[in-house]
Amino acid sequence: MASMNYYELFGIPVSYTLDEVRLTNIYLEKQSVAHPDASASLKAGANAGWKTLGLVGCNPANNVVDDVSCPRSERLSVDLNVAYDTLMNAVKRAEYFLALHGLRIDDISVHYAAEMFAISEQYGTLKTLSEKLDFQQQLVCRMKGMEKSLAAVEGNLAEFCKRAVLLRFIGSFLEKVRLDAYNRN
Amino acid sequence: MHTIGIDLGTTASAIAFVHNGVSKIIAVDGVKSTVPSVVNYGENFPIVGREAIYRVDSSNTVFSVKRFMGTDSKFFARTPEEISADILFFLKRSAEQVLRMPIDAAVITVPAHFSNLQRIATKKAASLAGIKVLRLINEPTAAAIAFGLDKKQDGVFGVYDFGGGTFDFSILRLSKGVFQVLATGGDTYLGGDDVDSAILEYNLHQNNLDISQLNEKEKLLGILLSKSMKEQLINLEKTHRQFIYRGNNCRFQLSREILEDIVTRFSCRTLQIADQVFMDSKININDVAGIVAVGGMTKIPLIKKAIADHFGLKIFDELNPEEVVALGAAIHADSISSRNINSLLIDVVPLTLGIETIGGTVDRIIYRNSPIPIMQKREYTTYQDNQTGIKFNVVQGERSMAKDCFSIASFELGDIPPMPAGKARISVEFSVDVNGILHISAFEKSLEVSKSVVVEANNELSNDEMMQILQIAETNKYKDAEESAHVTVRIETERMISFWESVVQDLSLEEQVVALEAIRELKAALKNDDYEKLLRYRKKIENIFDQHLDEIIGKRLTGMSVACVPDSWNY
Ligand SMILES: Nc1ncnc2c1ncn2[C@@H]1O[C@H](COP(=O)(O)OP(=O)(O)OP(=O)(O)O)[C@@H](O)[C@H]1O
Ligand SMILES: [Mg+2]
Repeated sequence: MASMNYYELFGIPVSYTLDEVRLTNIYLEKQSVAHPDASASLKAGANAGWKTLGLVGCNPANNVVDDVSCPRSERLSVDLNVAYDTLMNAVKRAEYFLALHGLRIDDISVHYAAEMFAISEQYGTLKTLSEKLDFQQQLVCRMKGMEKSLAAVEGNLAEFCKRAVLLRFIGSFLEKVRLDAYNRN
Repeated sequence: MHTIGIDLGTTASAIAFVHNGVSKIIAVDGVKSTVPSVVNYGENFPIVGREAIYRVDSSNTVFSVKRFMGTDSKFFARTPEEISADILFFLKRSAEQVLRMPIDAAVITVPAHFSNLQRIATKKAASLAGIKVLRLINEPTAAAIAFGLDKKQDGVFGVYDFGGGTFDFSILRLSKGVFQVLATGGDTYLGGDDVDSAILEYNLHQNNLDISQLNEKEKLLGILLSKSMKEQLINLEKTHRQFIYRGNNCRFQLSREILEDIVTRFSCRTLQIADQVFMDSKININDVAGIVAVGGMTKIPLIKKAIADHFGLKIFDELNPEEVVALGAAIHADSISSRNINSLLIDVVPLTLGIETIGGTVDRIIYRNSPIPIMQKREYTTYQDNQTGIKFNVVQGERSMAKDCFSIASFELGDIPPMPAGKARISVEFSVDVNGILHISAFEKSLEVSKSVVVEANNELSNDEMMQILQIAETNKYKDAEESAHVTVRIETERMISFWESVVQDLSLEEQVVALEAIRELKAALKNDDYEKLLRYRKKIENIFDQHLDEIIGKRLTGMSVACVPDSWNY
């Protein structure tokens, strides 16, 4: 079976730079055919085009090739969702993009130790919920900035691996802040 | 195929169906478009809805059972699923009666933030009631469908759903007929019921009483009076009730100002959740067309104002907030069953799903806000030599330690062939279907001939169990649903007549004249089997008695007459 990566699935170039609006449009278009609820007639016409579809994720967790447990119609929809979900998330996309090149985000956090420390420090000083929400918003903006800076070096994979460390850190720190905000009230 | 949409609410449920392309509420109750989600077990068959309230008794009447779905609590020896099934069955039968055709299947709504267990419980309730579930969909999403299709307007919307038991906030994008949920959040234990309790506490405090001093009957009466005072204050500045405590009259009073103080405590929390959902959706607030207000609590003007002020966005409230969820469910039922999709729906997983690993941390497998259907795999291994079994604890929630999340299933994969630690390759596959329900399978795949064991979440019914339940349901009370619908309505009406006759002397003289005349007409309608007339007169009578609901309830619960005349009362 021919296998496609997530980018090929949507017919977009393999790149960390992503046109989110375009991806979303393609995704919705494909889902309106692939989704289990999509009308039978539509699906019959479209199936021909989908025959060769089979996904290979380089991350074993995302590898959905050899599954037989869900019916084919739902399979297509699942594949699209997994791929879309991965590409739309800055951290997951970085991991996936690197995996396609046989690489992974560096484990050494020493590159950005100072930045990481500063973020934790700053968070520690926040008291009110609204301060924490604002901080979350700042981190979200910072993520967007990081995403751009990663895109800028996607030709230099070694540098990319390094910068992605901070991106990943902010991503998981955001999660922590969010949890904190959610649980305290 | 005939399908309906069901909003199985905490305090009120509604049903709708699509006729000639338009979604309409099926008004079964005569007085309102919704049916109280109340079940009375005083007889040897369940009595649901308004009649159950008339017959209220703390020793046999269940309120807000939805709050207990997915738990193993019991009420009068019945599980929450069974009680919900009684409500669902009543709704189905009523729909059949009004539409005069058998109903085959339904889309049933659940709060977006409902966990896997709560969803499974809802599905089980439906099968107990003999209803085929076309799909479980999330309440705010259903509201968006009703709203979006009504407006035929593309764009990003927030849906703020503040109901009797739960709060949900979702952000959706509607483009070219596809509804894409971008993020959702909520609290399944935050609703009008909590406001009612707070009002009761306030009033007890005013009377130097404490909730712990009340017995079950008094508590129930207090809650019902609080709820009714709350609902009245959208029209009045203040209201009062007589509350009977140990034979003594206490005065419950509530002004709009105090109500607003109480409500604000709860609405603040809803706005915090909404802020978080906005953050999760990565949507810029300027790109949002407006917020759809859903749920009975949004009838309170203060809440609508709070949402509008907080977000600076337009509030869409043209549709009745108590009907909109059922209307959307019916539209979705129609589009799934006719296979004529003009509204495709892509919803999301509300809470992260994962597995507890050694050390008690959670290995997250499917993240919240992932689009469904979705599937993810993980590989695990043994940590001891010749380990033949491995135990999995499946959890749902955002916390990093498993003990802080809900445990939703646990299973053991046995028969692993003996091999050194770390050699076994156990693949665990999580898939969340279009109903938002998780399916798990696990197998050991290191051997050439792999042995595969499929494990389902432990609360999911096996096919056998399902068949068994359906059979029992078949032979018992749910027999010949379509056939008996007509008979049941007759019996129900006869019961109501004798009830009304027993309380008619509590009405004013003018009302008595009108009511007795209507009861006479109703009896004639029964005799002639004139269904239209029967409904018309039932509605007329119920409207009269509805004005006195609090007195009827008070009398039933305390055995004493209580007067509830809010208008004439002043501080
Ligand atoms: N006029 C009103 N003023 C204040 N509150 C009201 C009014 N009408 C209804 N409510 C409240 O709204 C709540 C019921 O709302 P709704 O019917 O949307 O909830 P539900 O669907 O039963 O619950 P859920 O969606 O949480 O399962 C109740 O707490 C009720 O008291
Ligand atoms: Mg509701």
